[in-house]
Amino acid sequence: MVDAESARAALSEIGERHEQVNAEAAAHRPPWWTTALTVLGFYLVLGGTDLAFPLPLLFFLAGLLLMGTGLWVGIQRSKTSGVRQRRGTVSPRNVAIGSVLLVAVFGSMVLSKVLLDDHVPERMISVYAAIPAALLFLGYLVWSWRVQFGSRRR
Amino acid sequence: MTEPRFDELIHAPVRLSIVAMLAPAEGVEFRFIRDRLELSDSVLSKHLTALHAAGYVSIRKENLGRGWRRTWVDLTAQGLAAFRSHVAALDEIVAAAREQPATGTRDA
Repeated sequence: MVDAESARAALSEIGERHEQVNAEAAAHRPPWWTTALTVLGFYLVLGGTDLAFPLPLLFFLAGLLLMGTGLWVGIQRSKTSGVRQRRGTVSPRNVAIGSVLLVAVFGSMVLSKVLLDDHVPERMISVYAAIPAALLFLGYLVWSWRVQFGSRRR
Repeated sequence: MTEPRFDELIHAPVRLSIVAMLAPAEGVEFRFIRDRLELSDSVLSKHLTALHAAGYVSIRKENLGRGWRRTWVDLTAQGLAAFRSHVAALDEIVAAAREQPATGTRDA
């Protein structure tokens, strides 16, 4: 066993090491612009669905390209980290929260389309209906990055 | 509630730092631990071998191609439980010392 002074020093050392690991994880969080690219791509994929052909196809391809670029850059950045992921990232609680958020993203799109049906020209419905879905998707990504990488501000 | 249990294996100075670095993450790279603790490969390997023998850590090598490899170290469930018990034991020692003046007992 050890005396109180040594125990205090050991606890302080543990705190410092925790901080180092958390800082390393947070430093490899995807930058804001990759999140913005991903959300913009998501918006284009959903927002173009009601437009006149061939716009939906073009919006879909452009959106997919932006989403893919944003996610790819984010993954490349996190791959250089010395920390794989924070403990508890994949927990029943986080899986449940993530699932609810994703259902909310697509649910909001469907609900917005129903609500806008009589108020907006038919071809423009998806353009407006995709806005709340994209904002919720942004919330999902920000939450997801926080769970996986922690808060950048320390 | 974590049962306090002082663990001599974990408490050794370098091993305490290693386990403290492994606790908040699922997978920490060998190089990252080595660089932060300013250890040589052989010293870190020696401590990891001791922790591995006790069933406290798992070590996994990841092949990145072209001869590049990364070594990931992780606490096992047993290691995490032992670390949490050890921290609880340290907390208990500190708390007991804090209570001492109130009860009137004091070391000379």
